[in-house]
Amino acid sequence: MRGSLDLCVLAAVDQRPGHAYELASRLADAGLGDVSYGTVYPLITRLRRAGLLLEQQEPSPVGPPRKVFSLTDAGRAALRDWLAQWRRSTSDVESVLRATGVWAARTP
Amino acid sequence: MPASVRSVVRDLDRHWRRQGVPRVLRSSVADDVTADLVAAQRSGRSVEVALGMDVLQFAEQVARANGWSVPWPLYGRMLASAAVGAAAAIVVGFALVLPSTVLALDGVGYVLRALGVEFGPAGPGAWYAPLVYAVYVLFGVAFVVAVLGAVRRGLRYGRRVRETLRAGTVLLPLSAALSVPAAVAVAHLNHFSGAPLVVASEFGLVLGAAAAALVAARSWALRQPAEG
Repeated sequence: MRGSLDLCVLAAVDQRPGHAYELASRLADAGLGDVSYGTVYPLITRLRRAGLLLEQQEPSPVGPPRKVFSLTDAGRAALRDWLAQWRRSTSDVESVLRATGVWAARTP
Repeated sequence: MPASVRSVVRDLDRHWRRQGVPRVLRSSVADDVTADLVAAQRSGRSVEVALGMDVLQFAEQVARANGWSVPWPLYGRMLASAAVGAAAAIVVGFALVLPSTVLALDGVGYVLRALGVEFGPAGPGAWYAPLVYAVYVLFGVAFVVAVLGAVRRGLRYGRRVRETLRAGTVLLPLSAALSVPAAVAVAHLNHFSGAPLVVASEFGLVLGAAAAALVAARSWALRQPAEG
């Protein structure tokens, strides 16, 4: 799940740069309702330290400047690789489920 | 800033401060989290819901993500604590123990004279010397214990504290074994002058060596491989 969350965060940032809380909200709205800001913020920090996200200060009308996160070139490359890996692994699993008959039997 | 956000950020900062995270690092992250939690409240979510976990759990995760889960040197905090312990030992030693020892020795001399013991031209000094040395050694031991106790308290939330104290137990007496004779030599060269500069340089020698010993002990402790 952790690796897939990394992928989701990179995808959210790729869609549009944003603050940590905004990114967490977008992920929740997109379907990851159980993922809180408390989970996403450390993850963003880790991705930033890994050089996949770029942090920039942006003036805020209601308080101190805020950090906006965007993808670096390395982040874009990682997103591309992880997406390919995700497609491959999900299609491999689906093939197994189809071959064993579970897919057809249990699909509602 | 809403009180609930302030309270959470204060708890986070306290947790990181106890771990020894430098202020400049933790305040940057605290500002960041504050802005996000204020935004969460504006959007109608409580701080608890936004975090989705215990504050300390969040603090730990952020610390790990930032690479803060390391044994911070904390030299400044260690030396400040040691200074408090040393000051306490010196004040108690000079204000209470040494004068009362002198009085006790005078009392012993008086009793010996009353009993008719002959001291000769040198006076009773030869009788007193072992006692005086014993008092100084006891004072030295108390000084080391006070300093290490203060360091232990000062670094209570830090890491590798046990190793630091273990090394300090060896290095502090060693530093005293070198610095005290050096201080006595300085005193001797200055005819045991009570001039402030002379006394300050004698104290400086002993305390400087003790500080160097503590820094060396901490530095050694930080280089030890992690336990477990």
